[in-house]
Amino acid sequence: MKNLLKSEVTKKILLFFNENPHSIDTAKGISVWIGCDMDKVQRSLDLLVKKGMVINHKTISTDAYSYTTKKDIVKKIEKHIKSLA
Amino acid sequence: MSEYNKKKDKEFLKKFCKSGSIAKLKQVFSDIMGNKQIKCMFLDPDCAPIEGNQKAHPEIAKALRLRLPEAVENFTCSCGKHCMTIPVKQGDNVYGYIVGLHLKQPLDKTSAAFVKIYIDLALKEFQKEQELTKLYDTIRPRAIALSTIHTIHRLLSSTLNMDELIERMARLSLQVMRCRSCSIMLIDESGKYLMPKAVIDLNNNGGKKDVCKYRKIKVGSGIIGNVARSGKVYRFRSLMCVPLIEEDTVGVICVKKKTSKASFSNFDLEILLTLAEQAVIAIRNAKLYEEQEKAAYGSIKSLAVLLDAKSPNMYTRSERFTKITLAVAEEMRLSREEIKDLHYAVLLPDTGKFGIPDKILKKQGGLSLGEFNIIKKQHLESLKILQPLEFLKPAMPIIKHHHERYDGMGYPDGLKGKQIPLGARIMAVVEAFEAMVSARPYKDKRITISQAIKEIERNKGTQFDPEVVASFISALKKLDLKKLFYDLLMNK
Repeated sequence: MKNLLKSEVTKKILLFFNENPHSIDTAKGISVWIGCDMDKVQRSLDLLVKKGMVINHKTISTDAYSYTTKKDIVKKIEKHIKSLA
Repeated sequence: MSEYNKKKDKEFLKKFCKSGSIAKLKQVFSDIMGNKQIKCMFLDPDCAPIEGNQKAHPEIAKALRLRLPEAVENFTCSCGKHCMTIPVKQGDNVYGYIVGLHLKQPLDKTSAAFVKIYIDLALKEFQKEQELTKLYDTIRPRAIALSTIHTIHRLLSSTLNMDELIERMARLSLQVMRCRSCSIMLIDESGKYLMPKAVIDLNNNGGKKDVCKYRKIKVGSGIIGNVARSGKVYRFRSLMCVPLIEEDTVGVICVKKKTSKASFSNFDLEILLTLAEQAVIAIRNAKLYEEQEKAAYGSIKSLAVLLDAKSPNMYTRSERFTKITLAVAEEMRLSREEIKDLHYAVLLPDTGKFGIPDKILKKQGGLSLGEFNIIKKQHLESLKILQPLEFLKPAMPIIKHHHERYDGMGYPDGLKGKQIPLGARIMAVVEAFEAMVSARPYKDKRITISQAIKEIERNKGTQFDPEVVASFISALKKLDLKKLFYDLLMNK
């Protein structure tokens, strides 16, 4: 987790989802909300999906992302984010 | 002034006094007045202390309360030291007072004027900041929520398969509502019962439950049944049910238990209603697509029956053939669309034979070169029968090329390897297998299933695609062969 949070973009994505757990958005949308380059956001999202922190809702025409629904992962992320704040 | 406005102004003053502008003012003033660090007291419009040296000089607040200064002014405190009062005001509205304590010298007129201008500008800037922050805090979450709804719309619109759609809806609702369980039920054709179509329960180790285990609910019975009948929402603590309405109620979506354990709010209800509206549109589109597919399938079946009436099993294939072909397609992980097109092709694989004389079609033994050329030519001519059927367009290459060989020695075009459409390569294997194990008019005898499989394997790389052969063998292992080949076993 600490390694993940070293990346500014990854940190901002996790913060965004922590503050807006209900949201589902594309990589482009998320890059607008957090003010980061879309390609970097896409790479971070792919990594976070692998780690199970973000869910990829994949269809033929759209790739959308949302926060994990697993309580233990959400708590872990919250704890680390709070320690950075 | 009302209590509410007083409270608002007090809050505003508190924030203003903590702002960077006041910190800068204190620093500048300290430099001008020769003080090391000016100490300040902040008073509300009634001259009650907000923060600062509240314990020190309580008499200052008392004295100011009696006369409420309207401009910057100097005075001497009980210690005999110079102090000053600065009203924090805009027009007639007084937010409060800043009292500078124990200055080295009294404030001159020029400095007093400077302080007044500075406080005016600082107030305006601070108010703008507050407005922007308020705007950001109110608009940003709404913009994010709107973007979420838009993204959900795109996700739902991307599929026309009803089962996939309903399951996706349930997962998205779970995500957006941040709840532990979501179920979607649709009213059946009779209009009397709600049938469960998707049930996801995160308390159940990851989710999707077998809907067959859930019983149908009578419309009008229980909470969900009543929501379906009345078309009205139900919201209570940890359960929310919303009807899916398109002219009439078509179903109900229910969510249970928020992850945060909080009760469902009005805002949650609004979001679910918005989701439900989108869901209804997506369901309607999926239903229309399903009906269209049924009509297309019906047309093909009618044509197949017509061709069969002319010559049984000459232009069509058995149910078994269809089952095996589709099983191989699933094994090879073809998409839904590809499987659908292959299914259409399987129903009318040999329409091409329609114009071929019976004496050639039913001839026992091998064909002459001339007879074979007639077959090849007629195959292409007869495909024109299917051309007017637009929906068969993707299936046409499969029908046309299922007589090609992997090594390029087939017909009509001598395509080789991966040039041959995958559906055609699958059909070639299954057709050869089916021909070997079944009786055909141009064959003397049939062989056993295992012999047929061995024969297929022997011809991989030449007649057949090796990958398709491997998938064919895997698919056969998963099928109930006794049931599938019952007719052959009975006719031993």
